[in-house]
Amino acid sequence: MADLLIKVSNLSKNFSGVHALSNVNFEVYPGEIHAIVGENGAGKSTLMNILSGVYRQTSGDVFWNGKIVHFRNVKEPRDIGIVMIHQELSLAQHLSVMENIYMGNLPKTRSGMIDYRQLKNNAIEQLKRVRLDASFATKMVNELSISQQQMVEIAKALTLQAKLLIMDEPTSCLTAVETEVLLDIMKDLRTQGVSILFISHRMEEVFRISDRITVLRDGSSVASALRKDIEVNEVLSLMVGREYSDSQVHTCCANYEAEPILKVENLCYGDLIKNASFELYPSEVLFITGLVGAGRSELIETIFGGRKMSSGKIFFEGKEVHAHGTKEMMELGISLVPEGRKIQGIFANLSVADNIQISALKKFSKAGVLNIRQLRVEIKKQVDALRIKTPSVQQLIRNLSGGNQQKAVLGRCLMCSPRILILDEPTNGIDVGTKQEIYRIIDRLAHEGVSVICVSSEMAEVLSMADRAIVMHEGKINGILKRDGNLTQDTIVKYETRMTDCVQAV
Amino acid sequence: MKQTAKNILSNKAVSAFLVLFVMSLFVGLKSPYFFTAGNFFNVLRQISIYGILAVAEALVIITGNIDLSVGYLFGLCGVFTAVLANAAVPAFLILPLVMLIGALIGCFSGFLVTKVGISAFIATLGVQNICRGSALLITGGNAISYKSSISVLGAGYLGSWPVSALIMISVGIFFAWVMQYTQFGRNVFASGSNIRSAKLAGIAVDRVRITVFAICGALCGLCGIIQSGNLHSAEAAAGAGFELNAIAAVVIGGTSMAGGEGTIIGVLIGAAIMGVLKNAFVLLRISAYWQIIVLGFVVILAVLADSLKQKRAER
Repeated sequence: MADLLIKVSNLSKNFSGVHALSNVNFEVYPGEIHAIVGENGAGKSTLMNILSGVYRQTSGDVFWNGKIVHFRNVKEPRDIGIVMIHQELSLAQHLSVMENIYMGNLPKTRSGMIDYRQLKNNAIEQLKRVRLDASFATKMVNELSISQQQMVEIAKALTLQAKLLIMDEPTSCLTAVETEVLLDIMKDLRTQGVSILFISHRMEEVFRISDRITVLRDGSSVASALRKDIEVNEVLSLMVGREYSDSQVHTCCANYEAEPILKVENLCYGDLIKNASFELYPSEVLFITGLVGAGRSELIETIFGGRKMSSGKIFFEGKEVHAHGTKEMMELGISLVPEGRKIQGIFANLSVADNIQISALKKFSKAGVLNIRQLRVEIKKQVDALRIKTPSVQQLIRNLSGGNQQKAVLGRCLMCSPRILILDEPTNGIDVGTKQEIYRIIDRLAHEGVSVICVSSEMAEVLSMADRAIVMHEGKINGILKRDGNLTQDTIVKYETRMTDCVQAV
Repeated sequence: MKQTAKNILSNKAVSAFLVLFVMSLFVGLKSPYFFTAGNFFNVLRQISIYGILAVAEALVIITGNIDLSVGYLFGLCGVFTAVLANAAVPAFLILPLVMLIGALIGCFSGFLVTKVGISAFIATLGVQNICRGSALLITGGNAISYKSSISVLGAGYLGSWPVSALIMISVGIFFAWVMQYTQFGRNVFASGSNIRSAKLAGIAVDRVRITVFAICGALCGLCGIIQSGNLHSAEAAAGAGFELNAIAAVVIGGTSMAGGEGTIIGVLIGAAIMGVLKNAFVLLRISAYWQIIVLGFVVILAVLADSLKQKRAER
């Protein structure tokens, strides 16, 4: 067995008395793909931030090639070959790919000017390693898709002679096809001797690609084992700390005999949505899936009034909706849990209470003056029903874990007692335990008569939860699949990639 | 009730109050005149315009915008007050009329920012110049003196309390209540905290922001009446530079320039700190120019404290 690349020994971190990490132990060997898994709040990000020099540990040691290292800033780990790729990509959007790859390290001519020819040649060399075409070198970063930007980030990391690449949920924004490409690149890097430490919530890919898996729970490493020595359900049970079962949580209760509660006819939004038509029935759980960029979020945001439709008609309970803005749609009884909770879901510097009550203020006020007492009761109800973990509802929401933030946004929608609940990627970046809770809530709501529209990229989620699934491709609805009919992984992939070259690849 | 009391007096307002307290104590030790009733009411009268303007500016800043026009807008409103008074418009009509004019001009700024999509900094800079030019055009560059009972708002006293100070206190209490206990107030915070979330949460964001600009304009109208009433005359430059002092008071009072955070109580304390600072330099017989320099440093310190706290929250 080769020598250890990095060894983490009894690592602990306190944040003003709170234990974020306590006694974390694991080892990474050269040329190994090592997955770190755990629920939200288990300490994964804190751990990564210590290894990349953002935080300093309270106690414990990190050994690099057998020697103790203490990182005082983010530059030191990078100098010895530890490079982190953050979940939020950090490329300069208005510079070219090659400039981004060599940022801070641009090749110069003898006269001290930037040597663009050299730069381009070097960049093309690096792009090859991440399977991007040479033509990308001169493209602007903002012309690239998220997955391509991620490849550029990796290329950039490789120029720093990275020996250990740390990736924080690299596949969370990628589609199935893009994920395949990324996983292939990770395998390439492994054969080139680069070790990869990556965080993921997707067990399927963790088990496909990693050599070793370390499980964190409540800030401690509860297991670190070779993949071949451990089972998926074992890992899941270790993560949540109890027996785990992934049985079907949703049973169909849609009423297809009744009049549809929502009917969309030939809806268009610029070039992004082309003639979308579908119906939603009472108590139905309708999923919308497709590749990222297929127009799924645009479709629901247009229906919800967050974007102005170019043409088309929307009927609510048989009546055409004319006044069409988010406020009017909410008054009809439609609520949206948006995608990307940090960017367009939560109000980070407001309290949990404010975040939950904000949409329902009108319902609980008289002549604009709030009924504080009643609001407090209602907020408490949501916090209890959704089991939102917070010391108090006056706590700022940014101090809560991602899963609890998401539940608060869900609570905001539920406080309006919606007839139709629209969810956009509700489980993205959320741990397994909370995911199950959200599935159970969706199931419960459907049985209470609420119709649910849910956008999702996660195949397993679509297959286990959807009564019907709309598959979109390049702004068009390519097919509507039905459970107990043609709703299978194969048909979804076929419909979402139709008319592209990638079909054979999958 | 305890919880809401804690809300109103959030940490930042408390620390601003401590600064005010220590400052007052220091000045009081140096000059025995500081702690006299006469001086107290004098300071109160001096800060009444700053206080009202700062509340107006705070509302705009909490929605994540900024209004640079407030100084010249209230100058223009003062001019309108004089013109109306000289046209023998009765005092009880002057107040609503001038505030209405202010609100309409505020609406215009809000329209530019929300519907046209010009950044607030540029839009209100434009409106600032429009106000300044209009006021100069009307006055011909001279001061217009007038006589009307409306000037009681600026120059009058109720017992030993200056009427303008009582107005400031009422405005402060009213808006502190509005921001905490009304649907509109919470929507203002939400719109400033995250505009995209607010829109998707069903808040008519544009309407909220335009309303805030309109309220700001109306309060500028009120300031115009107070300022011109105090002097019984109005001129275009009456409010020159006041916008920066108002913004300073807002920042010192713990309002985040990024929007979504701030308290009205804190803003009034910020205005009081500036008033005491000004007063101290007079009492201690130091050049008024120093006062301007010190004010600059105080603003930088206040913002620094805010950003340090922000950073710690992220760590």
